[in-house]
Parts: sequence; C-alpha cells; structure tokens
Amino acid sequence: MKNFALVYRRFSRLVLMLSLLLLQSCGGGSEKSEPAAVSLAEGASATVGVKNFRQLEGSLRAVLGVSLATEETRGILKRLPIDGKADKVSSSSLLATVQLVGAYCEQFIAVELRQKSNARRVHAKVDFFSPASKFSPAARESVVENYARVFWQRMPTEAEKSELLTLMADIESQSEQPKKKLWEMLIGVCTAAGSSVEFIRI
Amino acid sequence: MKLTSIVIALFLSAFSAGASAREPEEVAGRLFLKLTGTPLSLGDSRRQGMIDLVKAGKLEEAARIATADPAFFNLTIRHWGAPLTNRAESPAIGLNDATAMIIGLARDQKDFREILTGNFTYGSPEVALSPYNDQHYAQISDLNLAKVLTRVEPQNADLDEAAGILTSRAWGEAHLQAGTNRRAIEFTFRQFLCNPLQNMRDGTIPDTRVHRDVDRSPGGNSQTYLTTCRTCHAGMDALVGAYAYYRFDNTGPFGAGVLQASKVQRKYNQNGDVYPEGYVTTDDSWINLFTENQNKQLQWRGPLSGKGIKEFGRMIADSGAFSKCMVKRTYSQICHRDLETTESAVLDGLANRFEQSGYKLRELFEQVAVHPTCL
Repeated sequence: MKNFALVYRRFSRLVLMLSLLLLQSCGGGSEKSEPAAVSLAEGASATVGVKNFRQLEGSLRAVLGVSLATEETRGILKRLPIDGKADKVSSSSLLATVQLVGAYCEQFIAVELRQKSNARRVHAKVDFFSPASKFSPAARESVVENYARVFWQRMPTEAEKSELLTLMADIESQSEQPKKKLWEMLIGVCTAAGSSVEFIRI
Repeated sequence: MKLTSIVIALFLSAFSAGASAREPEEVAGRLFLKLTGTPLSLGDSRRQGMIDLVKAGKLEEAARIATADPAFFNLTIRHWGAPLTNRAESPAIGLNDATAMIIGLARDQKDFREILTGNFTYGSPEVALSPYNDQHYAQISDLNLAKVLTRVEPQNADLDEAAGILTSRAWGEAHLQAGTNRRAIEFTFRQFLCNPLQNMRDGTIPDTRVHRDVDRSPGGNSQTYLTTCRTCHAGMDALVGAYAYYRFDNTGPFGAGVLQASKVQRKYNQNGDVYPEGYVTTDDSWINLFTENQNKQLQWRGPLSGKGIKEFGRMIADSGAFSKCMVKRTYSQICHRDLETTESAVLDGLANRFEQSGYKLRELFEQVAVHPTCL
C-alpha cells in the first residue's frame, strides 16, 4: 500500500486522464465480424450502471485473486458509489476507485513477483530485477494485453493499447527513482486498466 | 468542477446508445456481471456453458448458472437486503441477523414470505450466536456467507412468537427502541410494500383506535388533527397492537435485543393525559383499516385483522403489494433504474411469476436480469 500511495500521488492525474480516455473507447475490442446468432428485440435498451462498493472490491478480488485487509480499505470504500446508478458517479468516487484499484494492483504485482515467470498471469515476460530500460516493447505489449484480458475479458483495441503503452512511457520518463521505475510503470498500467469504465461499469 | 463535468458527461455519453443485436458472449458476460457483480473471466469453466445457453435462447438457464455463484449471495443479495434492516435504509452497514436471514432464504430457495412470518434465523455453527448482540455477525461478515450460513430454529428461545425480520435484533434495534412502536409499522409499509405512510393517508378511516397520546387539538386547532394527524394515526394506531408485547431493550442482563412480555408494553399507554378518551391498548389485537380508496391497490388478501406480529406479517406478505415491492427493489438493483409508471405490465408480469414460483427470490433475480427491458 505504501508504494502505491507514492505512485498515486505522483501519477494519479495521469492515470485518471487515461481512465477518461478509455471511457471513449469502451465497448470496442472485439474483432469478430460474423453475425450474432442471438439478437435482442430492436426496442430493448441496455441499462448500465457502475459497480457499487461491494461489487468493485468483490470484482477486484475475483479477477486479481488477492484480497486486502478490511482496515486498509475501509476508508476508501466509504467514498465509493453506494448504489450502482451511473448518475451518481463523481470525481470523488472515481478518485476513490483509482485508489482502491491501485492498492489491489500493488498487492497483485507483489504476488506475481514472488512466482516463477511461467506461473504468472500478467507479468510472464517481465524481469522484475532488471531496470526499466531493459523492459522490452514486446514485454510491455504482453503486460498490456494480459491486463486487458484480466480486467476486460478481451484483447485491447489498438487505441487502448497505444494509450496504455504511452502511459507506461510517461511514467518511465517522469519517475524520479530509477530503482522503482519498473514497479511504478506496472502499477500505473494495472491501475489504469482496472479504473477504466470497461471494468467499473455493470 | 470542470473535471467532474467532463467525467460525468463522458461517462453518460458512453452508455447512451440503445442495444442492437449482441454477441452471445457479450450477453452471457453481462448476465453474469449483473447477477454476481463480478466479471465472468475468460478462463472460467462456466463461460462456454453460459454462451451456449444464450445461443440457444435459454437465458433463464444461463442466469441460473450465475446465481449459483457465491458472489450472487455474498454481494448481490447482501446488498439488496441490507437496506431493509436499518432505519437509514443504507446498504453500507455491517452484517446483521436480518441480512443473514435474507441471504439464507434466497440461498435455500425458501418461500420468501417467511421473511415476515418465520420462526428462524441464520448464522454460522462455528461461532457462538446470541440474539442479544451482533458479535456473531461481525465475526462472520467477511466469510463466504453462501457457504457458512446455517438455518437456526427457533429464532430466539425467549420469544413465544417470532415473525422473521419483524422480530429480529436488527429490526428491533432500528424500530422498537423507545418510542411507541409506530415506526415499526411505518417501516413495514415502506420497506415491504414500497409504500410510504404518507401515500396511505386516508381521512375517511374512523379514529376509534387512535391512542391517548395523540392530541386531538394540536396548537388549539382541531382541524389540524382531523385533516392531518388522523389521516395516518387512524390506520396506523389500529395496526400497532401487533407489536403490543414487544420492545427492544439495551439494558438487559444478556445484552441488547428484542424482548417479549406477557402483557402490553408500558410505552403503548404512555402520555394518557393528552387525550384520556383515546384508545387504550389491552392486548395484541390489530385491525387493518388502510383498505379503501388509494389503499385498494395494495391488493390485500386474507384476514385483515388478527392478533400478534406473526399474523400481521402474514397479512403484509400475502398482499399483492409485497410481491410488487420485491420486484421493484430487484429491478432497481439489477437494471440500475426504476420501473416507470408506464411499465405496469412489466411489474405485474414479474410479480405474477414471483408468486407462481413460490416466492423464490433467486428466481425473481434471474427473471428480472433476463427481462428485455433490463438486459
């Protein structure tokens, strides 16, 4: 949680802006072109909302496979949406969402770091003990695609991939601590993917 | 402020498009997400089964897979039930006996009318359970409630008569502390009929059961009583006798909980000098006088008078308004909007199916989630 707090203070604006950009591209990503076998009535209208505080934390636990102690999250949960109505979304609740997702991302990455590379779900191509300069483009793309699968259950669009890769590059260039650069890049991209509308909507 | 406006505008605009034909994969994913509150992961073994059922047009069967997931009970049902158990009607409260009852009834596919009539509670057999404190529920709050909750009978060995949530510790703490127990009646209407007391006002009801503590000339103006006070009290006071023997006590030797006496609680006949000619409660009899004019739409069925809290709970649970209220609450949570007044056919249809299913709450959630106006 401490490492995330540092990243959050420095990069929260970047992460939040990226989350907003990802708003515009939500719903994309599917490359399928064959016609759907099932179609809903023309008059049906999709009803959407946002995950409430229980669903958001439950979803993070489900997709990342980690949990945080109640004491760590209690203060954040109070600022999350109580119900799932989309018109109740506020900048305060979005920032709380970024904070909660970031805390879970930090825990998740710490778990992956301790695993062998072939057992990791997202960071199989990441060498945690090499500097960020050795973090190859292929490995970065792999991380982005894996986070999209984890949080969105699909591959990212080219636009989404580009935005997340740009975020990593921006964090890399702005980070003031060479030894923590890689860690901050990974937390940043995880948090951005998990704070996006694609994940928080329901 | 500008950032907030941008956020909300972008957020809402992202969802403004209506649905067109959707991939079965997307439908299955949305169904699972709506019912459990969590995503259906790509590697989930249930994913293909749900997709195949959606392709075959068997949406309710696909929904059944989702409602078998523990998250449906631990997140969705818990969030749905919690507002029914506290005065603030907030879902953001700790686990209590009443919420546990709701989760248990849904998981065990019991007739949900038991929530107002049954002599039971739910808890974990691994932790000591007492009706006089919430320590048990605080300890099990973060566990897999769908797995650990076990039905316990009777609800409270110290009560001669229990009526589901109406005699639960949470309900008692919210509505039977001090006061006159009238709040318990008000919130029964509000939470289980979705009908606030002010909507039930009726100036034609005889005021023979209005208690002595109600001033018949408040501020020296009897018209205020006739046109305002009486329109609620005439009906409410005639019903509050159902709780005559109950109170919530937080000073007892066992802790804080619902206590039942063998005689009328003192609070019922307090302030008798306000209007000495008023009604004196002598037993737990009650009469439902909210039956005419706009209150006909509550669709009362069965006896409209009785004795005690269990018979009162039965009257509420058997009403058409109860079924519709459960539909409204479920629809609001799953579909993220309230049913419009123009959608009465949707409401009636879902309420009828709920009753025909034997008042199974889990099936109600499934039917709502797959409804064309929701999915």
